[in-house]
Parts: sequence; structure tokens; C-alpha cells
Amino acid sequence: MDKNNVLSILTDIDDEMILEAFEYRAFGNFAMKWKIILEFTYIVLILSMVMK
Amino acid sequence: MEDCEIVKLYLDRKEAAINETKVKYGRAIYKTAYNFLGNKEDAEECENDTYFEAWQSIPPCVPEFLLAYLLKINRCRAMDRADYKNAQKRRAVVCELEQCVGDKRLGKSYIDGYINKEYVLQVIDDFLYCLDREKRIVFIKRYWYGKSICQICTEMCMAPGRVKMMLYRMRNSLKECLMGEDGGYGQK
Repeated sequence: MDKNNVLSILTDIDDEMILEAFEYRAFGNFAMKWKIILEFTYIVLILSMVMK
Repeated sequence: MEDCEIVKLYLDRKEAAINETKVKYGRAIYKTAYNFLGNKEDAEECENDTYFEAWQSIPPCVPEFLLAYLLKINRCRAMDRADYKNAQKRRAVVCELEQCVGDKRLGKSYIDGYINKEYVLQVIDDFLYCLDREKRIVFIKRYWYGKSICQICTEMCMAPGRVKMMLYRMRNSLKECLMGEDGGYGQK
């Protein structure tokens, strides 16, 4: 491997930053699901109000 | 099983360590390799190489963060394999970062072997710690985990344009940091 490649050098960054980015995914997916559910609920509410 | 228990299995030279590692972190290891290689078979081989190297290196190494340790091994192996297989067809993630350190205008291409690795690593660490948490995570997801813009958008609940702009600005900032006061890269 070309050790001087910056992508290779990047491998050795602090462990905590690696884990921080890894763990953030779960929250991201969780938030995304809730965002979709809330948006859908909002649209349904608006539609039901319009239909009345 | 807790990480410390898995590490203890390695230290006791019990082969169950590999199975437990696979159960707990196999998916994460495979996906990281796949991000760089884009090929199922290569990613699986890379995953197996990671278990083998972990088995050989623990002990003497006793990792504090087992997942980070495994992913670092995995990333190295994936990049070795990516270099070997895609010498001509470099992946987008590599090309993007090369703009930071492989700029010919600087007259100090990374290929020349002039880069002081410790200096660059320190600059990158400092640079990342100075960023907002959100930006830092986007940067690491893209350039450490090799994820696509689309994956990052889904995981971070962001629009593609915002992620691209964020990465572009961070690359430019990193380039400025790497240039530093002495003209760049801590050249020896």
C-alpha cells in the first residue's frame, strides 16, 4: 500500500472519531423514519381538513 | 458479548474469539470493505483477512476500542485490494481527497514520498476535532468509511446538495490546513 496516500494516512485517525461516525448512523436512520412518519401524518391531517 | 470479553478470548487464544467477532461486528466489517471495493467476493475476502490479522495481532496488541481496531485493519486491507484491482479506475472517494494532497501546483505530490506522515495525521486529527460534530461525521463517513453521497444523505437526513457543498468546503479547508505556514505537508 502507498503509505503516503492521504486516504491511507486517514486510517489512523483517532478511534473515538471513527466510533462517533459509526454510531451516528443508528440515530440518523431512527430520525429519518420518524421524519417520514411525521411528514406523512401532517399530509394526512392537511388532506382531512381540506376534505371537510 | 462485551468487547472486553471478546478481547479476552483473543488473549486466551480461544478460536471462539473469531466467531464472536463475526457475530458482533461482521456486518460492519463487511460493509466497510464493500464501500471501498464495490464487490461482494472481495469484501468477504477482506472481512476474513481482518479476522485473521486480528487473531495474529492480539496479543501483543490489546485494543481499547475493538470495533475501531478491527475497522482500521479492514480499511487497510480494503485499500490494498482496491489499489491492486482498480489502479486505473480509481474510486471517486480517492480522487476527491487527492485534490487535497496531490495537487501538482504545489509541486509536492504525495507520490514523491516527501510527506511527513505523522505531521499530516496530526493536522487531520486537529482539523477534524475543530469541525462541528455534524460536519466531522459527514467527513468521516465519506472519507473514512467510503460511503456514497446517497448513503450519507439517508443516514444524516440531509439533502445531497448540502452534503456535497459541505464536503467541498471541508476539502478546501483541509487543503489550507495541510499547506500550513511552512508551505505544506511538514516536508522534511
